[in-house]
Order: sequence, then C-alpha cells, then structure tokens
Amino acid sequence: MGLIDANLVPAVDGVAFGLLLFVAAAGLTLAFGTGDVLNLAHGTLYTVGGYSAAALCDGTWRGLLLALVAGTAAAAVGGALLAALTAPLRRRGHLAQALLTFGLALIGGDLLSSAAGGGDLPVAFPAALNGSVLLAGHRFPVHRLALIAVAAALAGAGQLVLTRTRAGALVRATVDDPQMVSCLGTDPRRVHAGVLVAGGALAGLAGVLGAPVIGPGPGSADTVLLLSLVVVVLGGLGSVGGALVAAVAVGEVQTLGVVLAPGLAPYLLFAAMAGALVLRSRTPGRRA
Amino acid sequence: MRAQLLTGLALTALALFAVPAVLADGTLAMLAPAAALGLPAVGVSVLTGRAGLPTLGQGAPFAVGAYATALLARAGLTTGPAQLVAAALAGALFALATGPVVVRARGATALMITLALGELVATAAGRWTSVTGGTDGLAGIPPVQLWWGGSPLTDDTALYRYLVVVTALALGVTVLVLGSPLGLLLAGSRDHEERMRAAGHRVGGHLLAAYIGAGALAGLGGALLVTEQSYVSPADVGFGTSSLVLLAAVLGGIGSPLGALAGTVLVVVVRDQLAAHWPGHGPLLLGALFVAAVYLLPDGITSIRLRRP
Amino acid sequence: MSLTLSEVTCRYGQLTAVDRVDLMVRDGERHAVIGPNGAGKSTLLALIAGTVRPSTGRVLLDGRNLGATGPARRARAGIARTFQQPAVAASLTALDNVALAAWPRADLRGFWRPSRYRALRAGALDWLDRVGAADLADRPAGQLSHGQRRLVELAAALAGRPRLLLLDEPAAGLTDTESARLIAVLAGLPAEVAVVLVEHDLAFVGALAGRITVLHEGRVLAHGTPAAVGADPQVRSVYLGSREL
Repeated sequence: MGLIDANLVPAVDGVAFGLLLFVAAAGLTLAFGTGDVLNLAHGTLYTVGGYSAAALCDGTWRGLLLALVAGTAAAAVGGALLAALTAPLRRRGHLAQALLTFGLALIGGDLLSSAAGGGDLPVAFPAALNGSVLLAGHRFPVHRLALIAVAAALAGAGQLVLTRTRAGALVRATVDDPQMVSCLGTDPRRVHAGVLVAGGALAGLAGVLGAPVIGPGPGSADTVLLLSLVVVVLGGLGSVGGALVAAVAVGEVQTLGVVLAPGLAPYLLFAAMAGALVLRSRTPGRRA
Repeated sequence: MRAQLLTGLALTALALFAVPAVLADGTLAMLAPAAALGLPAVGVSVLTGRAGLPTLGQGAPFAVGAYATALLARAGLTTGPAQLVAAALAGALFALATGPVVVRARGATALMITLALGELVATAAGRWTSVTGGTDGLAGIPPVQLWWGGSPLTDDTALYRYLVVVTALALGVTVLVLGSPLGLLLAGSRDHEERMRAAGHRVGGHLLAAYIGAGALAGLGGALLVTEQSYVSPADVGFGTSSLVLLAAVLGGIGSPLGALAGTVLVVVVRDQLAAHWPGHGPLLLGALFVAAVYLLPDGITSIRLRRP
Repeated sequence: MSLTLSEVTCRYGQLTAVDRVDLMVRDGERHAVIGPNGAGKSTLLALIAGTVRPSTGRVLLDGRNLGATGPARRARAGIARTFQQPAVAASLTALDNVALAAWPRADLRGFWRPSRYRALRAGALDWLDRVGAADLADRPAGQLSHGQRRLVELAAALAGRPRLLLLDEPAAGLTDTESARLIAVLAGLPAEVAVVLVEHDLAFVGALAGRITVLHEGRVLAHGTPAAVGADPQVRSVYLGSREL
C-alpha cells in the first residue's frame, strides 16, 4: 500500500504520457497496417503540432484553441504530402519508402527548426493548466489530468469511428485483407492515404496537447518516432487496441519505471520491442 | 573480377598519393569521416544489397567496435593492427550474439528489429557511464601506432593514409568474398529463399554469415572513427549513423561495395562541406539527398545485376 | 527411397486441405497425384517437402518419421522439388541456378573456391543440356519465359541427384515440344529415383505414371494403376461432374 501511495503521482503521470503516446502513435500503427509502410517521418508530424503550440499559445485559452486547430490542420497537410510522395513507391518495397520518409523527416525538421529557431522552445499554456490540484492527499499537475481526459476522449472517439462508421470499417478491412477491400470496389491505396492524413492530424494534435511533456525541439521528432515505434511493435502491428495497452505500458516505464528502476528503464523499451518482434516472427505462417 | 581488383588498386594508389598532393591537410581531415562510415556502408551493401536483409541498425556493431578500440587504446594498446582485429572481432561477436534474432526477420520487421537493437546499444553507450563515459563519451584517446613500437601517427597526411590503407584492404576482402561462389549463394538466397531451401541450402546460416561479416566491417569502421577523432560519444553511433550508412549504400547502387564507399564520400561531403557554406542546414541537404536517392536512383535500390565470378 | 504418408491431415484454420491421407511411394515408383482444383494436391507436396507440417499424422522416409525436419534438411536427404510457379533466382544466370542447386548434395566439397565451383558448373551445364536448355545457360533467369524457367528449375531439381523428385504441375505452360522433351527426360531418369507428380494434363500423367492417386476435397478418392483408376465409377463422376482436367 505504501509503495502504491508513494508512487501514485508518477503512475498517473505515466498514464497521461501513455495516452499522449497513443494519440501520437495510432496513425503510425494504422499506416503500417493498411499500407505496410514504415513511416519514419511520423515524429516530425508530432513536432509540427509542437511548433504550432510554441508559435500560437500565448497563455490564453483562445491561443491554445488556435494552436490546436492550426497544429492539427498543418500536420494533416503533412500526412497528405507523405501519402502523395510515397504512393509512387508502392512497388519498390520497404527500403525505398523508409528512406524517403526519413529524408522528408530531415527536411521537415530542418525547416521547422530554422523557422522557429533552434533549441527547445517554451510553450505558454493557460495558467489554469500549469497549476496542480490536491487529490487524495497528493498534488497532481492539472495539465496531466486534463491530458488524460482529452486523450481518453480522443481514444474513445477514434474507437467509435473505427467500429461504427463505414470509413472505419474500410480501414479495419484494409488492415485484415487489402485484396478483399479492392474486391468491394474501394482502392486500398485511398484508404491508406486517408489513414496517413488522419494519423498525421492526430499526431499534430498530440504535439499541441503534449507540448508540456515532449515539447518542440531538435530532438523531439526522434523521441516521439522511436517511442511510437515501440508502441506500434509492442501493440502488434496494425492493432489499435494493442497500441493503447502498449502506449500506457511505455508511459509507465518512462515515468514509474524511471523512479523504481532508474538503471533498467532506459533499456527496457527497446529490449521489449526486440523481444516482441522475435516472438511474433516465430508465429506459424511465417516460417524463418 | 581481376579487372575490379586492378581498378581498386589504382583507386587506392590515387587516394594514397594523388589526393594528399592536391588537397591541403585541413581538407584531408574532412575526408576522414568518410573512412569511418565507409566500412559500415560496405557492410550494408553486403547485407542489404547482396543478401537482401534490410537494416537500420549498423550503428550498433559500429559502436561496439568504436568503444572497444577506445577502451583498448586507453588501456595502452595503441598498435593499429591489434586494434583493428579487436574491433572487427567485437563487431562480429555482437552480430553473432544478435544474429539469430535478426536473420529470422524480413522486410519492414527486419528494419524495426535492427533499429531496436541499434537503439539498445546507443542507450547503453549513453547510460553505462562507468565503461562508456556516458553522454560525455570517451576522450583523450592516444594516437595509433602503425606497428608494435612504431611512432604515433599524429600528422594529418599519415593518418589519412592509414585510413585509406585499412579501408582498401577491408574493401578488397569484401569484393573477393562477394566475387567468389559465396556471393552467388547470398544472391540466390535474396532472389528466391524457398528455392534455395528446396535445394538443401542453409539459408539462415548464409544470412547469419553475411550479418556477421557486415558486423565485422562496421566494427572496423568504429576503430577508424576512434583513430581519426581520438574521441567517441553516443552521438556518433545512434539512429542517425545507421540511417546515414544505409543511405550511402543505396546511393552507391546497393549491392556494390565500391559504390557504397563512393556513396559515403558523397554523404559526408554534403553533410560537412556543403553544410559549411550554409550553416545549420546540414539535415536539409541530407534529407534532399535521401529523397533524390529514392526518386532518381531507383536502379540503385531495386535491381542489381551481378557479375559472374 | 520409399515414402509413406500415414493418416496425414493438414488444416488451415477451418479449412481441411488434406484429410487423413495415406500414400505409399516405393523405390523407383512414378506416382501421379491428380484431382480437381482445391483437392489438396499442392498441400500434399508441401507436406512431403517439409514447407508445411501436418496437423496430425506422419510422413515417413525409408521408415523414418520426418517430424519437424525442415525443407533444407529434407532436400539434403534426397528430396528435390519444383514449384507450381517455377522458382528461379532471377538475377543469376540459368547455369548458376542449376549449379547452386547441385551444391548441397554434390560429392566434392569446398565449392566456395572458384576452381571447385567451375567443376560444379560443368556438371550443371550437362543437366541444362539434358532438359534442352543449354542455350539458355548464360541468360539471367529473370529474363526467361515461363516455360524456359520451368526447364531451368527442372534441371536444378535433377542436378541435386534426388532420390525422390516432387513435381508440381511440370507441364503447365509448356509448349508441346517442351512437354515432349520433359517426358523424355523424366522417362530417362535412373530407375531407382521415385517421382511424385501433381498434374492436370492426363496425357502427360499417362505417359509417365505407373500408379495414380486421385484426391478430392482433401481425401483419397481412389488409387491404383492408371487403368484401374480410369475405370473407377467414383472418379468418373467427379471428373465428368466438374469437367476438370
């Protein structure tokens, strides 16, 4: 009981971090599932949101709202750009696509940091979000609680879209069997492009929301990309539900893990990622 | 085959004597990073181009070789050949240990497994402070000696020639191996794995051998990095390095070791020289190079025609 | 080499591709497996070659259970095969394709040495000549036509000097000349080599096979000599009903 009590704050922090990662990584896992594309520019889409926040947030709610809209829209455009540029490379395999997205990530990162100035930028959220509240004898930062609420709402809405709408059904079907979708009269490539745009928008949104957690800066695109890849792999490529569980687990490792086992936590993520890939490559039907 | 080796010898001689005569010492030092990254890129051309296993994690054996060399040198082992053997062995052992995991995977899964391994090693380099010096890295590494009891190589031209000779030797061995029937085995496994299995070939074993060879080459590159900059830090060995050497191998027309080396020179020149004229925009230029490589050199990426031995 | 399948079943999820099949192929026997599309013929070959493992039942080679032995080890034990889609290494020449296939079961060792490998290639050229594809030797296999690839793949399978040869629709996509050539080559195989042949072309089957097994929906419908199978009323109804073959 004492252990739980003492670590409640980092644990809640971990949930917030995890949900943020989930919103950021959901698009990546669906892009992988629908198009089998390793999108190395995904972290850059997140930073598009972060830089929008840095530019537009002025401590008012109106500024935050403006940043949310602008960041989401800009990252969606980025996703559309990615869809347009990777489409001609379909037949060329994973290597060409990975290299292209990596090149675009470098270009995008450079343009963003030269437009906004190098170094980690401060983001001014409304004062109400910067405080903390006393709950059950602990002080929790308001931003993290708000992040949990918003990200959970987004995850729920996303789940509804995936399960209850025609577009969502098409996405799920494309993950399972692209050929069947094309038999139904929809080009799986269009589904994939749609996923890249929507996933980009989500990543941009996460970039604004999560600016106080992983803010805009030269290293943040790589951080988000690598953490998202871990989430995508641990959650099972293309699985949204799996990504949610994996994201929260990764969030806990990054917060609670660092408190409980500071020597081990940094290795845990990539070891788990490699382990998950190994286990999955042994499943039947994929003989090595 | 023979023509290839002769061309290689001629190029080596050119690099050894003509280039230092034309370029000033300062410029030579700027070419040096190409020597360190060149051998890992050659390894990628073997592993990805010839054996068909894509990798985003050659920074890992590169790191293992570099840190092994740095630690040995600080412990007093400054003889070049001994350092090189140790670094190549370290890289090969790393590949042997991680190989069984990697050679099971194909395509995007292989990219991600190697990426995860690379990040694990980079994390270790940054965190295992007692051995690696953490994010500060290992500095104060004494200069290398050509042979036991020789004088330390301190002047730029001598150092440059050392890098050229080591790179040329490693490249020569690689070309010889790929030109032998072993190279055909790897190409066959890349082209049609099931066919090779159905004939009785141990495809996993061939891939493991290629992965170990690429690891040894990356380890050698790590040794050259330490020799050249007398310093190593986690910034030298991360994801960025892995993707750079992959790009270099692709630029050179993947599957061609000499091309991979040329690709590395191009990448390093763009990153260090062009960026010097346009400060702060190295990543932009590199990114443009990535995009150009994918769109303008499709043959470099997909279709490889092999010479018969 | 004798091959025995005992009560072999192979399921993919809900689908039972091969259902409690017994099969016996003796030393030197030329055995054809026929049946309509989806009868489980290719799965049966995959079960023998080791690329698919049975859900239940056993595959025995010379009385020894092959169990989980992989395709490469089975090949080294003397099982060679061709694929329904002719399988070649596209960037290598036809000759190198055959030489690489001969490598694992050749008597000499050390083919990584160029001089030894040249000897291997000399033997490979001989096999290409026997299937009538010697003129293709130096062409990259990726540039060959479908029928030409089939011949190269057959030469590759034969070059491994198999004791059991599995052929998956070897005559499909061949011209009449190529097909006749193929029959001559297979008829000229050493008498002790056993052949299991999956084929649609009944004339081709009749020219080669001493025994026939008819598969239908994963099960053995009939087996015996070509004459006995041809006279079987059940077989006739399946074939006349589906107008297959």
